[in-house]
Amino acid sequence: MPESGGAGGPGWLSGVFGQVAVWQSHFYRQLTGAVRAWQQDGGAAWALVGLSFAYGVFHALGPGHGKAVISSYVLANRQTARNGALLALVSALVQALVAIAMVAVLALAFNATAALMNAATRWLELASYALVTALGAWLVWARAIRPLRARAATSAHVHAHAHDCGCGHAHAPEAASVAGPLDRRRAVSAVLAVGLRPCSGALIVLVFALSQGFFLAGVASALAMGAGTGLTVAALAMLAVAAGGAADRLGRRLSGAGAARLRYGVQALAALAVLLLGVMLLGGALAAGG
Amino acid sequence: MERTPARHGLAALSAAASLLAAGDAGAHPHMWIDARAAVEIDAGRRITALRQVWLFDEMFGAYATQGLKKDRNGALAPDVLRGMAQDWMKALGEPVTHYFTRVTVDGKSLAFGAPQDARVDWNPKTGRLSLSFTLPLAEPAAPGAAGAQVDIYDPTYFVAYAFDAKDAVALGGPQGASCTSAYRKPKELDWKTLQQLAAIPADPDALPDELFAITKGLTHRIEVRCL
Repeated sequence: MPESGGAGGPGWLSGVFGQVAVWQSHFYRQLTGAVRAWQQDGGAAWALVGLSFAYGVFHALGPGHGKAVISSYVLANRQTARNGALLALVSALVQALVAIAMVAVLALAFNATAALMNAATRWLELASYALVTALGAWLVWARAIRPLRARAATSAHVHAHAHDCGCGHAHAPEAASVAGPLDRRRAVSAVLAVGLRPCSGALIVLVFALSQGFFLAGVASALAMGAGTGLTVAALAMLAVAAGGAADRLGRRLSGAGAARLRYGVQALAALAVLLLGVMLLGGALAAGG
Repeated sequence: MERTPARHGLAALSAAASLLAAGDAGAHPHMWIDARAAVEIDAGRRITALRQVWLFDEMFGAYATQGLKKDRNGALAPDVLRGMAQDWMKALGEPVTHYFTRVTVDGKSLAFGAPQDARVDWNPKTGRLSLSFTLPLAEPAAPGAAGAQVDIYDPTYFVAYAFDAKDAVALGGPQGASCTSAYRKPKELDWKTLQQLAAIPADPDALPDELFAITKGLTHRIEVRCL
């Protein structure tokens, strides 16, 4: 998957990642105390919210499929920074809401056991990974295979075109094809692919809050975690957009055809990354649960 | 891949825990265990068994007991606790988890017999569950000149152990007093190790030894010597 692809990081990076893991555990372990503090003193609500938010931020910095899907999706579709950030925020919010809804319905309303909630989580997880795979397959078709077929069909025409009018023209069909209702449907599937599987940290805090007779604290904590995760992934998605833009500018210096090829390469690779991630996650989940 | 090791860790504590198999679980622990371990030494100064008590954190206690019938004092029925103990030991016995425990003498890891005396206790006042069990060696083994190494850890970092209590590590049995034990904390997880963990193939059969090699130094280690 994209984030584990690099070679060994430099020393300072090792320190950073070690520290992220330490902080994340640190915040997580304090959540129980923060729930109780709020229960005793309404003014302490902010401590829990702040702690949960920080947990969410560090959580998003660790490994996870959410940011890989969102960043790759944004790259493959040449989304704007604003859309990328929006996508990240909405999917994190959906993820928090799924956790809240699940615990509210299963644990609060039906007093379900952990075993049942685990089963529900597993189904959501499978659905989420299946969606990532489907989205990846669609992206590969639309961004890697279809352009090739189109080029083969109108090979002579494209060549002449690209040389004549540079990359400005080549942008146009792209922009047109990512806009409109079709894009919205795709964005929704990306949001669901990321958000359907609730985060275990949120589920546990919700159930713990419920066991203390203070479900509201769990809800606030899950939402704050979602905000922290969402903002972090949004920043990463905007970084992906910036990287894509930089690649474009680099390509423009080459030639019209070079720019088109580079852009195609970036999009096709990003699309392939989503598909591979989906296949790996789905395969792993099916193998583990079989 | 990121989620596969986590799934195994989760499988370890089974029913209640399997939720935690989620993809993000690998990033940091979701379950804390205050552990105690006693190494049993027989009259021939051989290691015969390990007695372990694992006290789980409060959030896990709340999650694992959610929806279970409790009496007026918050206690759980004995048969529920027995069922939990059974499920957990079964999951812990899977090759990938292997009770999160490894005993090594002269570089060879020793086989375990079937675990005994497994029980789960629930303390409604502290909201914490504990699991205790005895893990016998298939054959008693003398620590030898180089000593015996007992490693306790979850290589997937889903479960974090702590041996912080004063009596967390002990020697027992007829000749326990004639042996010595030294406890060594795990070193911090670094970036390189994280990457190696992420690169492990999703083949459960290949897991334990490979993980063991990568995670050397990351375990809670008890060094036992009988001289």
